[in-house]
Amino acid sequence: MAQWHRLLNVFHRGRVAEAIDAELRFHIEERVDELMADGLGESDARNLAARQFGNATQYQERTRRMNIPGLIEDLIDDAAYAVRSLRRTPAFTAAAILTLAFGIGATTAIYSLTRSVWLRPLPFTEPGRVVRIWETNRPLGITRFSASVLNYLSWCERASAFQSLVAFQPGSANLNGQGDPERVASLAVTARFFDTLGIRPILGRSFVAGEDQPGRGRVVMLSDRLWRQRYGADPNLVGRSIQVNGESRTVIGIAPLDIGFTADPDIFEPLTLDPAHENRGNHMIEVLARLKPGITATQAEGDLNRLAAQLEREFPDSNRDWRARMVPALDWIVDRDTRTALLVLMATAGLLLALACINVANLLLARASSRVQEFGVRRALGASGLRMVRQLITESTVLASLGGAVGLVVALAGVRALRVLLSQSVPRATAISLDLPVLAVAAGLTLLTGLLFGLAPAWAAMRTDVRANLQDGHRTTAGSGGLRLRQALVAGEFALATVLVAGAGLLLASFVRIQSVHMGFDPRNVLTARISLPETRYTMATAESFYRNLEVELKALPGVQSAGISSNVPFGGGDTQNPVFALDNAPTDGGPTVQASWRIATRGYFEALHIPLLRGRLYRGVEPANEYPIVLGESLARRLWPDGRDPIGRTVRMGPNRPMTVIGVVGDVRQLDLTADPAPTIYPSTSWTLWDPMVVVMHTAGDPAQLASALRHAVMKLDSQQPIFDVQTMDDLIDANSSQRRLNAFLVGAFALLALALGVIGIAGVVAYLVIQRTPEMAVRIALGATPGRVIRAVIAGGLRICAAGLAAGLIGAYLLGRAMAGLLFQVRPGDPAILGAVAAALLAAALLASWLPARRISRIDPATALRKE
Amino acid sequence: MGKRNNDILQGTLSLLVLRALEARGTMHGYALTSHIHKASAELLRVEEGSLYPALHRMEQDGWVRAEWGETEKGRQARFYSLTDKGSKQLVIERESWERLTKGVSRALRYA
Repeated sequence: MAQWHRLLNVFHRGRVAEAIDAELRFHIEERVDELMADGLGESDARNLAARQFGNATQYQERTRRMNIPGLIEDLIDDAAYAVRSLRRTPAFTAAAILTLAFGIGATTAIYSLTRSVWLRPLPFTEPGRVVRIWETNRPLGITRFSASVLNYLSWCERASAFQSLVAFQPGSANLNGQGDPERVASLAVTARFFDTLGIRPILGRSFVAGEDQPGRGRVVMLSDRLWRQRYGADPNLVGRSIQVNGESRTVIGIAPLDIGFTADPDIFEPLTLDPAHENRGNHMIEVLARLKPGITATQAEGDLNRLAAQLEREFPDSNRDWRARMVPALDWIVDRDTRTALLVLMATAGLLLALACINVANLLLARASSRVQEFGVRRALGASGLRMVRQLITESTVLASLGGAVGLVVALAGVRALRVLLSQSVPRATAISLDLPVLAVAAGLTLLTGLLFGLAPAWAAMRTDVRANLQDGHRTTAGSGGLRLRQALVAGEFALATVLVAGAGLLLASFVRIQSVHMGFDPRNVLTARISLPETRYTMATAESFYRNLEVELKALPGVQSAGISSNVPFGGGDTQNPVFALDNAPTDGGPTVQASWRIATRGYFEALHIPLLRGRLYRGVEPANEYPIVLGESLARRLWPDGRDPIGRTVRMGPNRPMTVIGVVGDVRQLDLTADPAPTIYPSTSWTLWDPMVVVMHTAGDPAQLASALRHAVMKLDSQQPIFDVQTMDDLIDANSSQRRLNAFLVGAFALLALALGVIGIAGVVAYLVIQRTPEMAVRIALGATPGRVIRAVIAGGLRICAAGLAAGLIGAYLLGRAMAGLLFQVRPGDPAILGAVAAALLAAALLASWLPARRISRIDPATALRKE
Repeated sequence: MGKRNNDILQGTLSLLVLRALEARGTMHGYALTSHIHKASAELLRVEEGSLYPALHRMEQDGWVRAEWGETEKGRQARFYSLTDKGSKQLVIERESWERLTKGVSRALRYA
C-alpha cells in the first residue's frame, strides 16, 4: 500500500511538493498568529517563526525524500558521488574493473565457442536422425574405416533402417579457364547428398538422381566462398560452364557456407560409383545416412551388422570380419578430443569467473575496512543506514557496469581471436559469435557479488557503535569476522589459482613431451610440395618418368642435400591403408594379416627425411619391372613374422596386388599423430605404382622455405603448365598437427596466469590490511625490543598460512582436473608429483613475494608516532 | 552552539505523536507541537524539522491517516488521525518505552 502510494506520487510530483509546501506554510502561519497573540508585531513574529522553524527548504527536502521523485534525484546524486569516490581510489577501481572484465570476457568467449561448435544444431533437417557409418574390423584392430563402394551399394539395396544413405569423398581439383589456375578442395558426393541431409543451395539446385551415374557427371556446385572470391558472386554463373581439371562442367548451384562437418570444400562434384570397376576390399568412401523415423541408432546398427555378417558369408575373401559402426553425426563432427578440450576450457573459464567474483569481493572488503570510518562519520552526521546502503549499492552497480562494459570488449576481442585461431582446426569454429545470454549471466553473477560484498562497509558501520568508530580512528576494523571472511576468500582464491596453474602445468608438460617425441625421421630443413599430374596429359609411364626426372633435377639444385618423391609425407594429412600378409606365413596357415599404411616412395624420400635403413637395401633408380621389390617399416616386419625371421627375400602381398619381395627394412615413422604409436607401414616403389597427387620432399642445407621458387622452376622446366601446391616446410606440418594442443596449453596457461595474478593481488591485499591493522601492536612490540625483522616474519607467516590452506585444497582440485582431462595429456600423469610440486613451489614463492612487499612497511614503523595515535 | 536539553529523544517522537492522536483525536501538525509542548509541562519541544518527515513516514507506514481540512480560523491544514495499525504500534512503543525508563531508573538508583 505504502509503495503504491509513493509510486502514485511520481505522477503527482508537482502536487506533492505543493502540498508539503502548503502544510509547512500553514504551520508557520499558526506560529505567527500565536506569537502575535503574545504581543509581537507581525514582521517580528514572522521573522521569529521562520528562525524557529529553521531552514524550511531543508525540511521540505527531507519530507519530500519520502517520495519516489526524491528517490530518483537521490540516485543521480549517489551515482555522481560513486564516480567521485571511485576516482579517488584509482588502483582499487582499475583492479576491480579489470578483474570483472577478464572474468566476464573470458567466460563469455569460451562459452560462445562451445555454443557454436558443440551445442548449435547441425544445419540439417532433423539432425538427430543423421548418422555417420564406418566399417570396422576387430581382428585387424580397425575401429573406424572408410567403406568399400560395393559394401555401400549393398547397404543401399538391402538395409531397411535408413531412409537414405549417401557417400562422399574429399579430394582436390584444378580450376582453369577464366582467371589464374587455382588448386581447390573438392568434395565428391552422391546425387542425394544435399537432399538427404537437408542442405539447400543458396542459388540454383543441387544434384539430382542419375547425375552420379558413370559418364553423366558433367555438373558442379560451388561453395559460397569460391563463388564470391573467384566469380564476384555473379548470380548468372549458374547455368554457365567452368573448366575443372581441364574439362568443361556446368555450374548448377551454389552451396551455403555452413554444411556442418567441414568448412573446406570449394567445389562439389558428383561421386560416380561404378560397380563394374570396383573391388569389395577397396575401402575408399565415407558414408552418412538418415534413419527412418522412429528407428534408433542402436536398432539401425544391429540391422547393419546383420547385413554385414550376411555379406561376409557371400564374399568371404573381401569381407572377413568386416562390420559396421554408427554414431550420431554430431558425435562424429565434434569428436571426443574436441569435447574434452571444450570442457576443460569451460571449466577453466568458469574457475576464472569464480576467482574474479572472489577477487572483487575481496577488493570491496578491503575498501570497506578502510571506509568504516568514513561511514561512521556520515552516520554520526545523521545519514540513515538505508541511505548509506543505497549509496553503496549505487557504487557497486556503477563499478559492475564499467566492468561489464570492458568485459564486453574483452569478450568481443576473444571471440574474434578464437575464430581466427580455431577456424582451421576446429569444426564449425568459423561461425563463432558472441553469446548474449552467457554475457548476461556472467555479468549478472559479478554484479551480484559486487552488490553483496559492496554492502559490507554499511553493514559494519551499522553494527558498530558510532562513537567507538570515531574514537578508534584509523585502527577501526570491520570486526574480526570481516578479517576471517577475507582470509577464507583469499584461501579460496589461492585454491582456484592452484587448480588453474596446475592444469596449465600438466598441459604444458604434455606439450613439451610431444615436442621431444621420437618421430623416426628428421623434420629439420625439409621442404614439401604436392604435384597433381592431370590424366588428360599424362599416362602412367610418362608420369613415372616425369617424377624420376624431377628427382634428378631437384638433387642438382644448389642448397639441396637430398630429394625424393612419395605419395604422402608424415603429418601431410590423410592416410592410405591396405591389409598385408606374408606368403610364407599366410593367414590360411595361421599367419597374421596386418592393416598397414602404405606410402609410395623413392630412395630419395628415405634420404631426405633421414629415415634409417635397418636391414637390406633401399630402391635403386629403376627396379626391374617384373620383380616387384618392397621396403617395409620395422614394426610391420615384426608383426608379419613374430618369430623374428629375417624378412629380407621373403614374399608379401598387399591387398589384391601381386606378390612382392622384401628388399629392405626401415625405421618406424610417426605418420599421423605425434601422440599415436607409429603405424605399421609398407613402402611400394614409384617404379610400378603412382598416386595422385604425389609429394616432393627436399632436405636443404639452409632455410628450406628459401627453395620454394627454385622448386617451382625445376617443375616448370619439365612441364611449363604444371603447378605445384601445398608448399610447406616439415616443421609447419608438424606445427599444424600440434596446433590444437598448443592452443589448449596457451589458453589454459593464459587463464592460469590471470588466476595467479588475481591470487597474488588478493594475498597482498590481506597482508597489507593485516599490517595496517596491527601497526600499533607491532609498535608496542618494537618499543619493547622486538626487531622489525621478527615482526615482519610473523606477518609473512600469517600470509603464507592462508596460502598453504588454499594450496592444499587446490592440489586436490588440480588432481581431479588432471583426471578429467587425461585425454589431453601425453606421457604425463594427472598426479605427476614433479609438476604439482613445481606448481606448489611457484605459488608459494608468489605468495611469499605478495606477503613480503606489504610487510616491509613494518620496518618503517616509528613506535613513537604509531603509539601516539592510540 | 550547545544542544538544548529538551530535545526529544530519537525514537520517542512517534510515541509522542501516536499518544497525542490517541488522546485528542484528529490534529494538524501545528496543534501536535503545541499539544506535546503543553502536555509535557513545557519540558519537551518538537522540532518541526523532525515532526513533518516523521508524520509522512508514519502515514506511509499506515499508522496515521491524513486529510486536508479547514481549521476554525478558515485555513487549509492537514489533519492527522490514528489508524488501527497506529493504535497497535502505540501499544508496542509504549511498552518498550516503559521498559526502558524502568531499566534506566533502576540502573541510576543501584549502579
